[in-house]
Amino acid sequence: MKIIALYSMKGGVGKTAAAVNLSWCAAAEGNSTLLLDIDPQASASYYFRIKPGKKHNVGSLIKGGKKLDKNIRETDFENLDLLPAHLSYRNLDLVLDDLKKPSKQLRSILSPLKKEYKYVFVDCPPNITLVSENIFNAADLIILPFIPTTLSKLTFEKLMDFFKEMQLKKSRVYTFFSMVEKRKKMHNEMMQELSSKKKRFLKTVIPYSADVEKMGLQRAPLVSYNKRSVAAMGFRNLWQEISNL
Amino acid sequence: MAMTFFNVPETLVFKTKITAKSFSDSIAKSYTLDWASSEKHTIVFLDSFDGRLKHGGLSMTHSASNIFLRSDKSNRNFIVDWPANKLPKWADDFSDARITAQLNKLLDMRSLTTILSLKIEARLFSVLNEDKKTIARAHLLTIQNMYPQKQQIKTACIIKPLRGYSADVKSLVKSFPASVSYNDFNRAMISAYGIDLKDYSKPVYMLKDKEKISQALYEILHKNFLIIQNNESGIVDDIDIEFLHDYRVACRRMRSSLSLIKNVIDPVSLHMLKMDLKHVGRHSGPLRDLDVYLLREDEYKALLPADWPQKDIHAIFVRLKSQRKRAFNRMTKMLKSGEYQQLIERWQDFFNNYDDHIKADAPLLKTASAMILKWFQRIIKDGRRLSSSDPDEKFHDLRIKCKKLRYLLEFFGPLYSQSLINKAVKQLKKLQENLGEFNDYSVQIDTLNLLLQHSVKKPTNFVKTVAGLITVLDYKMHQLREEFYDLFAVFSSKKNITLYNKIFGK
Repeated sequence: MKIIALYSMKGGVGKTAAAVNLSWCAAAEGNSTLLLDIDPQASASYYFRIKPGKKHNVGSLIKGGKKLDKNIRETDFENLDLLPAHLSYRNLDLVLDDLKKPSKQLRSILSPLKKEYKYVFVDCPPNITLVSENIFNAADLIILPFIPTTLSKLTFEKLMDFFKEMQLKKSRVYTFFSMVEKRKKMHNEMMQELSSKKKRFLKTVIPYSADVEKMGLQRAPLVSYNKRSVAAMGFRNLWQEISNL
Repeated sequence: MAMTFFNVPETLVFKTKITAKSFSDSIAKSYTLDWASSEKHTIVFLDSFDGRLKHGGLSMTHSASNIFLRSDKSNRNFIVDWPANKLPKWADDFSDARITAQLNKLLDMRSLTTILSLKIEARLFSVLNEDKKTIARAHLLTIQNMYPQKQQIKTACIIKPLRGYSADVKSLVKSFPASVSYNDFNRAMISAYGIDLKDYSKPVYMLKDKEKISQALYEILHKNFLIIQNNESGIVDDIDIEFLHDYRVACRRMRSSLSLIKNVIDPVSLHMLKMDLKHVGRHSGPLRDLDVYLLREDEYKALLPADWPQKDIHAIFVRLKSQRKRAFNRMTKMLKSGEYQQLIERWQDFFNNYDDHIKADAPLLKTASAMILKWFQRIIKDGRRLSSSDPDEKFHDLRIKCKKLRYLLEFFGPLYSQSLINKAVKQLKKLQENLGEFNDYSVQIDTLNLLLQHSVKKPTNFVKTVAGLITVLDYKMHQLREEFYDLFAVFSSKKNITLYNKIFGK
């Protein structure tokens, strides 16, 4: 089982769109896939039209096992399941703090799922807390969507420092250029500067596309209904790159 | 049907005819149905005439170019390619050795036949909730029975919730039109079209959930009573001698259970039941003996020297055949009589008011184990005392005791570990077969003697032939006696005694 986290310290970088579309791609290939939505905003859950069950809350996530299992829902797409987020997840870091080995909890919660799923995608909340630490410890791959601006570069460097400080393996971290607008000079310059320097940057570039925003109206992964869209093709190529890592 | 089932879908057979439109209209407003196109299928259900696959927990269907073998326990389909034009008839028709072995075990030489044939029009649809999320995938089926008879069209629905939506689907189904629910489509069809696969021979006693000996006795008596009834028409129509055999075996099991399991049923009822069974046995016995004898025609021909005139042997069997016909007529007359009908009604009344007939009761497992151990010890004791100089009757007595033990193991077997029971039965079976064969020959010698006595014409050749047969049979009996001592030694060995004490001891 491979745990792939879609993470960013900032919001609005295309993290959820990537999680939703990449998980669809993985499932479409025939792989048993789970999308774990732990962002209390529950956007990924919204895209799949899935509401949490009445008994689902941060407690059932933490308890794991059968309680977690009961709340997993099958999406409309073959091989793809989703564990929806719940508003109570906003307290997740407080709940984790009370437990033993607070930064390693998520890893043990997800471990029993390896019998069932080949891939687990995690849509993470845009912050840096105990929750994020859990993700960093649990994930096999940490994928960062990166809008090519100066601020993004700063944030990225801060994150790498954090990793060094926490002695986390940087080799699992990869980034891809997200919401790229070729017309913008800054975007082009930034992309040139960074791709030559770092090995961490994936080749696939996801362009900004109104189609992605319209996903909120369609309430389905873009790749499932509009394969021709440039963004959709981008996500499919991105998945190819990620699955070969 | 080309559907992949991950968990158990529910089959609902509607009580009235349903159309896609009426169905859409009837369900709760917050749900939407999304309809796809229809597909037509033919499904043929296969089993032996007496439902051996069904009783063994399997169902076999043929559809498109496939045979599906489904186990009730695992609910998974085992799929094999099979052309539509020639359906399988025997277990050996299958090329996969595992399938053949499994089928042989259940079918035991009986052939497969079509028990139900259906034409189905299936329309796929999805059920969406208020968020337009798919919560279930289903098929609406319009079914027509092509065989046994063309019946009225039925409609059904197979619905499978998506993972996590079982509760929602459960409450949705409540708003569906009135239906009967099943968790297996095959069983649903068999039941809905009234295909009654009766148990003709081997009863399966459900004892694990019972605590009292009276409950076990009911189970044993009732199951065999049903078998008796199921075999009646087969006897009357003279389809196969096996019907009479199964009928008699069921009667014997009932008699045996009544005499072995003592002090449970009140004396008056007990007497009635025993008398009734005796009456039935009296009529069926002679017919069975003759059936067996006629079955062995070739065997007897082989026993005599090659130069013995064939036509003389043939003459004996001609006489036996006419005797058989007379016995058959007597048997069928009895079965069709008013007296027999009353007997059946008396029994049904007994079962319906069973609790009123219980005199005393006891805990099931404890009592069963004690009985088995008792008869086992008796066999060991009596067998050890037998010598070759003892008359035939003593061997006959031992044979009866072995039979009783065997019945007890058969009746109460379900209470113990299957593998241990099999071991316990193994040596007993060999011993019984020896004693049984011995008895068979004894009976046949008697029949031949009777034949001599009752024949009006007694040409010399005829007498010679019969006498010759008797001599050969007598010799065979002697051989069996020798074999008996070896078999008994194994049965009464320390190993076997330890085994019985292990299973049935305190």
